[in-house]
Amino acid sequence: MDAAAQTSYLSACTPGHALPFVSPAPTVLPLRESEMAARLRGLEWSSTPLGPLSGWPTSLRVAVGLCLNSRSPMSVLWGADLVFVYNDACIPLLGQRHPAAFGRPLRDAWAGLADSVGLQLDAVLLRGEATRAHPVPLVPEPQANVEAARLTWSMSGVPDDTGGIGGVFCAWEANAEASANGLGDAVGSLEHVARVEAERLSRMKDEFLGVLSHQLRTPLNAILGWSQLIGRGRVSGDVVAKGLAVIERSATAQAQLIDETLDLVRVAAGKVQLDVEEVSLPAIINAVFDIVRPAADAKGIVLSGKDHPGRFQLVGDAHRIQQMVCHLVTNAVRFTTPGGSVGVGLAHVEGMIELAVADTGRGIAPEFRPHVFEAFRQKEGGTSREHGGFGLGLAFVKQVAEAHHGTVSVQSAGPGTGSTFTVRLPGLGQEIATPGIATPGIATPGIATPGIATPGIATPGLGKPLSTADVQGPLPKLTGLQVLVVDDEPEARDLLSRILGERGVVVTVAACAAEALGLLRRHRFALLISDIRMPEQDGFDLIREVRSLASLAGRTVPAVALTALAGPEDKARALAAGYQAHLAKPVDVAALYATVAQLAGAKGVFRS
Amino acid sequence: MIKVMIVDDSADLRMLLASALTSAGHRSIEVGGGLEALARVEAERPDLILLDISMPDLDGFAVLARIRSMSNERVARTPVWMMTADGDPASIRSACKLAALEYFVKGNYDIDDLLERVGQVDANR
Repeated sequence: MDAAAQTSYLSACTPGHALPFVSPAPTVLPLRESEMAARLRGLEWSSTPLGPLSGWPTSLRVAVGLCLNSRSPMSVLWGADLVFVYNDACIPLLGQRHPAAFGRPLRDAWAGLADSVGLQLDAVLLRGEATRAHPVPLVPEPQANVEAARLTWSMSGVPDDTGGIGGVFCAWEANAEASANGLGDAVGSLEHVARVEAERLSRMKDEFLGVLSHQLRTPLNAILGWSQLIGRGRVSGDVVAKGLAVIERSATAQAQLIDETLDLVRVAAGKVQLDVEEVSLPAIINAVFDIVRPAADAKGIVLSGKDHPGRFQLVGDAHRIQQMVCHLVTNAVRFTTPGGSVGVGLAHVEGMIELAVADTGRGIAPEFRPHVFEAFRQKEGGTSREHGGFGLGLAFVKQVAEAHHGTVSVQSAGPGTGSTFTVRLPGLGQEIATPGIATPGIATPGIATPGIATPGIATPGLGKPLSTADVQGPLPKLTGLQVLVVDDEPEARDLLSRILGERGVVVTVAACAAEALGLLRRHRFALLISDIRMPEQDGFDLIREVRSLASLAGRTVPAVALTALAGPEDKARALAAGYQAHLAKPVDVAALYATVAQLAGAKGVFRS
Repeated sequence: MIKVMIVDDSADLRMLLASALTSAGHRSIEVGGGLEALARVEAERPDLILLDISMPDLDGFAVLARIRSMSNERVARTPVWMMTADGDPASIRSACKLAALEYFVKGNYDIDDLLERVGQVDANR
């Protein structure tokens, strides 16, 4: 390769010398084949302010040539009317403005843009500055292949042949932020969404901190102010006592607020410690109503659902569940206008307990619904201060429900129609409600919202609460059955004992296979329920030894494997090892009762 | 001695400010919300209003804007001090635009300082 061939364009440029390689009489620069190049040639320019192509000044030809040959979005605005010339890369960003915008004055081509970049254009055209604008929102035309995006235009003036500024050369930064069809654009769109999302969450956090600081500062002000008044002897007698009482109350409120905030943050971060016990939901609802009633009364809101006569027991953390229900009811009251109503209903649905909190409040817009359970989310538009919420409440509700193997969902027909929040939790000893017949007369299946008549909210015709007799056939009799439960985890033993105890089963527990074998040698049991995965001897070891026990009663005791190993092979293996049934953890209460009844009954029941 | 209207939804804070003002020989009127403040301000004609910003019925800015546009010029020009939980610059700007004279961040001022400035309002009257 000789030296001349390696000479680059730049190295050939010597200060003071004319540029090499410039064709002497350019029409337009040689154009790469493109849609816009074809349109350039095809347009009748003589009917535009720029006049026929042949009369264009060199600077315009060069600018348009550079623009059309680029694969990045660029445009030229020329003359007093800012005639708009753009390249192929701009097409997706223009939506339906293309192709009509080509060769038109900017004000006709894209009226909104002319307004939003007006100042920037002035800087270029009047003062010859090169500018980079702040991002300008790109408002998509209907049916454009463009989602909401932002454009940044870098503009520089292009001298005309007389030495003035003839027009403007615009490079568009329409990279990842604008999206259109195509893979690259799809990725860009995702990035855009993620960024917008991050910005929004950050705003929510700011808002949260604002609300929090307000809630902390009000008692702080009282504490400091009263300390100063009392400490400097400005007040005396009765007033001192009052002040001291305020200080104490404020400090207590502040401490409680800090606790609750930490709780919420911890729970929202997914770190929940459950303190498990048997919980009665009607009792919890009553306790919550006691807390919320003053706020509801103050707004003239009717609360309904107190003293639910049904039996709705579950195993869970009573404190957390109460907090959860309290959040839902408080929220409902908060977003319901004075004179409205808030109702809490309970129902047995598909083996779960369903708690529904329905209000006649402002409802939830469909686009916001997917986000209501996310941390730091609240209805946007600055209403959170007005309503004093933290934006953590519903995230807390979701975390608590899920920590109890439950779910939470929201139904709303949209703004102004009220909302219903529904929590489903696995019940304890609640009778197997047959799907489909749970709550006759309810428009929305399984959602009981007694006492509220609201458009858009199902109003059940519940003449009386659900009871066992309403929803199912006769229950298997388990009372008095002697059952041995083997599990190395104390919580698992307790839970199973509670569930079985609910139905009158007499439960004996063993923490390991050896202990179970000892018990089986000395006592008769109607049924053995054993965990599989245990240290030392596992459930397979246990059942082998059980089946070779000396006593007939021991050897033939029906056995259920209850295990987290829930695959079909695990089941087959358990049955092959000598178990009569296999149940998966977490335990399905209904299936457990049915299995216990069936196996214990089949064997001939040993009653105490 | 001047007459000060205290507008705050927190009863504790109203009592605090009222006790402080009383201790310095001033008169105070306690008002628990923005709407009540608007309803009473013309009849009470306070010499100074201490106005909380964040209130559930009507916030302090809305209250102040309505006071400033009242037809009774004396009431419209009542000196107003904003009392707020945060010193957010945007909020301070809004307060300035509405010609609030002072801006106190709750828990961030000294009660003697506050009373001294109340004394100045009294002296300038």
